[in-house]
Amino acid sequence: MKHYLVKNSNSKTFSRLVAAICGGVVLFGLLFLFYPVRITVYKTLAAGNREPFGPITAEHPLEYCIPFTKLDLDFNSANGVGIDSIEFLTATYQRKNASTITITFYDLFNGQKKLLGSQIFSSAILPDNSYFLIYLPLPFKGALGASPYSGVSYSDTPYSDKDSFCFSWTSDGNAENSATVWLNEYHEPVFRVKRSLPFYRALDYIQRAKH
Amino acid sequence: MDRRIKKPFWGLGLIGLIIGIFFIKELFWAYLVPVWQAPDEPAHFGYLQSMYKQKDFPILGEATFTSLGFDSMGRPDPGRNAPYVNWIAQHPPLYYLVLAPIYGIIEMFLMGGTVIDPVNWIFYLRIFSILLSCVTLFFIYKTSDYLLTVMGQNRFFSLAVVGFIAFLPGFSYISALLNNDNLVIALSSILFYLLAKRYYGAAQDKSKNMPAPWPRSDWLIGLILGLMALTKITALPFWIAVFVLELIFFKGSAEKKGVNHGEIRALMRIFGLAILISGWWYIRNWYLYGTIFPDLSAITAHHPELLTKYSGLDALFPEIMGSGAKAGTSLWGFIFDQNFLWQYFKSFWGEFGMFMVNLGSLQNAGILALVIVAGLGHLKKYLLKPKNAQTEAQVALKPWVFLLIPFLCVFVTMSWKLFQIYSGRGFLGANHGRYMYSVLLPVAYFIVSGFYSLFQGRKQAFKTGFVLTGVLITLVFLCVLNEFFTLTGIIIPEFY
Repeated sequence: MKHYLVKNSNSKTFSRLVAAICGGVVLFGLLFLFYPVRITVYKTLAAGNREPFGPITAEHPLEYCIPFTKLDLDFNSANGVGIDSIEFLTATYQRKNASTITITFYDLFNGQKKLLGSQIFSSAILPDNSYFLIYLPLPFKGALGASPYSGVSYSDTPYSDKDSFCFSWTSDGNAENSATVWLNEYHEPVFRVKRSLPFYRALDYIQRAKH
Repeated sequence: MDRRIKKPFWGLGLIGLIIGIFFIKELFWAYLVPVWQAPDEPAHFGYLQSMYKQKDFPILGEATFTSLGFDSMGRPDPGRNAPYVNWIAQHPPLYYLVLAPIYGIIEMFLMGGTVIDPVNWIFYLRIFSILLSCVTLFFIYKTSDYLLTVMGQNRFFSLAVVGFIAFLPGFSYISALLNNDNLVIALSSILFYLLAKRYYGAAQDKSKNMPAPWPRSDWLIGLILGLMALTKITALPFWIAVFVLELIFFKGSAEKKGVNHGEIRALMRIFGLAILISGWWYIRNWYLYGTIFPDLSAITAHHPELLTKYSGLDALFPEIMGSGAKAGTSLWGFIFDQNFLWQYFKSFWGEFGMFMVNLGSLQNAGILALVIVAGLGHLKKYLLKPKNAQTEAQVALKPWVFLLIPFLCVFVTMSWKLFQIYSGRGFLGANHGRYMYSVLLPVAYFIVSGFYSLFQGRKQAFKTGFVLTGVLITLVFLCVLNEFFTLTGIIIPEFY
């Protein structure tokens, strides 16, 4: 039995196929170069100590601030794209009964504390003794409305050492029922600020992350 | 007349092109996936480096030569460098023996024989994995060629099977990293090729409608089975598969009724050689640990502190299993309550990084739809098949058996083992669908063949012609898109 394509196969068929595949590869390569990818423009460990932190309560919140001077310039880019999400990676440690967790982001600017947004959820959704990622897309859609980062540029204002971007985790629980998170040698939380960039621009961050 | 379809002369050219594209995009993967963000990559590296430096095989529970430190993202942190307990020394050594000369060359010529930090040159070791996967793709193509007669008549069919595998995100990921799975997968593809040639090759005895004896293949199959057993114990189900296939395919091929002495001799050659090649490793296990399969449930992988001195490893299992979050759940309830099957399914298509991130929900939904569509295609093919329409080859050579037996052997054993690990340490979510990559060929055939069958019709263009060629190209294009969105939407945001 001869096959349809066998009958028609010749060098021209092959050349066209190769040309089509090569053309497709080149197009995909170009698409890849300009396709936006979400990439970390700032990353830090969220705490200095490396012990289990908790129980997290209103009196004993987990807080961490990133000085603006450490943030990449892209944090408030001139083109107004700005950051598009913030991620907080950590792990629970012997989570007890559920309590209500409040995660808050705010900045300290010229000594003023400005709330950027917050999320409230039950600690019951966190797995016990496991990694989890708190993912907060921006702009915040809470009671505060749109993100203050959209349309607001800090670039004209010199940062001072006191200006910071802050993260706070509090809980309505008490010592008996609140979550404790790992902050030890192998499980310390990681705080990542993300934004979208074309791949060719993201390569710069990738290269930096490798070294 | 040769049973196989006459080859178009550009067939090898196209497969070469696909493998070339695969190689280049795998270099991207190897670059983009940070060091250690692969399944147990630091441990595999530690095994290799310790073996090379100490000129001996590592022992489970003893400190490695390697000093490595990690941050919480699993990335190298020289500030925390310290020797660690070897938690994967139960793996047989072939992969590391093959890599050792490459490691030696890199250390000698690139690092001046002094630098231990692998961050800058683990990329070169990963290239070896990519080359292994190129071998995998090539032999899958060659195997598919032997199955064309009974599984499809379109020349693009084999290329679509290879394209499907080459752009499977999970396979692309593991192919670019330091992991002994890559050697198992490559060897399994060679084994499939040898078996296909044995059962479907040109040497068939037409008069008996049975495969003709191919004595040399006994030794070759034995060699590959032995090498597989010397690479990773996840390859051992293939021993069962080969045994069952031999029984099925040579049943009744004896000259007279009664004991088939020829086949018994063939089995002795196959398994005798395989045992000769790999048996010493398992005897060593027995001598060292008191069992031929130490740490079968990978308990030490995340509980190195529980290692005792060689003996009693298995005795620890109940203790760990009992403390698992899912202990006490019934098998049926566990599968559905804890989503084991769904997690297992998802991890097959993609499971990335130390936090075992899967594909996006939209991608998973699309893949599930594809599997369902393929299933419908097979159903259509089965329902619409005229009675007594089986070809001579289909009756005699049972192609579905050839693909199904190895798949089932690997699927049942791996699923059960993974279920045990998952149920004991469920919080780690260890759903390593990659253990099924040694049977990627049957999976790819199921998908491609089902998708193909769904569009088959009576007209020429819908039988084997350009419409179905277009269908196959579309399928591969979807796979390429899936991988593209995996790189841009999962891998880069996850790691950077």
